[in-house]
Amino acid sequence: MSIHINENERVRWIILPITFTENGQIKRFEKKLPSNIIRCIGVLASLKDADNTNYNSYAELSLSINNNEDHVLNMILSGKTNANFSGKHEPFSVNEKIENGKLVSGYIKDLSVIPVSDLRGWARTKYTINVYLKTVVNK
Amino acid sequence: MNAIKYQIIKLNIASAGEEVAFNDVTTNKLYRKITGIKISAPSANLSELIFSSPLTINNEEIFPEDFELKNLTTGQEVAPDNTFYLLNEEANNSTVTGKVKDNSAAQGFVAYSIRIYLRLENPRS
Repeated sequence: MSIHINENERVRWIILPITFTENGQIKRFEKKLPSNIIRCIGVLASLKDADNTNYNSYAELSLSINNNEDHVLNMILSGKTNANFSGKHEPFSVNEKIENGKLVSGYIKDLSVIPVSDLRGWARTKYTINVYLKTVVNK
Repeated sequence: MNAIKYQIIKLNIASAGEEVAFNDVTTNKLYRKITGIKISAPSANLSELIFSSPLTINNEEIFPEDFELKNLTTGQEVAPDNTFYLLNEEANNSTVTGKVKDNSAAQGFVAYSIRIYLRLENPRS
């Protein structure tokens, strides 16, 4: 599904970094978005500084917008569909209106059953999952 | 004149943790639009690369600070024409700026280069 963007609008990416220090953690997040953001058109997640490809399902993401009034998605983050080197990193398409001044919130539950490692196989004791919001702002 | 031009920004990473800026890139003035961007880098280093300063075109932010470069790459099974992240930005002598940082560990590091491909076009309409 492709989302139409008008001539007077442009894309702006917002990154929400969530840091984990051990397997199985559940981390909540909450962020107020810049006031010129009017819509969210995509969600992408990435295991930062690590090799995603080892993990069939490394975390569960739940995302809500507008002060928790609209639940946008609940998805399993999978190394197979969000791998470093396979396919294309297309964000999961959504089309949600963002109300000015309200919060984006949610949680990520770590599902990895082995320690997260980087591409050299070195275990990471602390790692970050980045949640990318592809949003639209007025020019 | 060709309908499409691929303009390449080449960055060399000589040591682990190096940060490389590109501030003097101007797009070809014979083309009106930047319609796509993609990144090429060795797979062993790809997950360690971020924009440490936003990638901008004519001072408009396209990708923010901390955006991971691996999100602008694809696997080999993707058709070449579909490997670009789509943009719709002014070309025609536009200024492209940004800074890339390598977060690799020093141990076992080998120097490499990154290529940022910009696809320039003259749309018919």
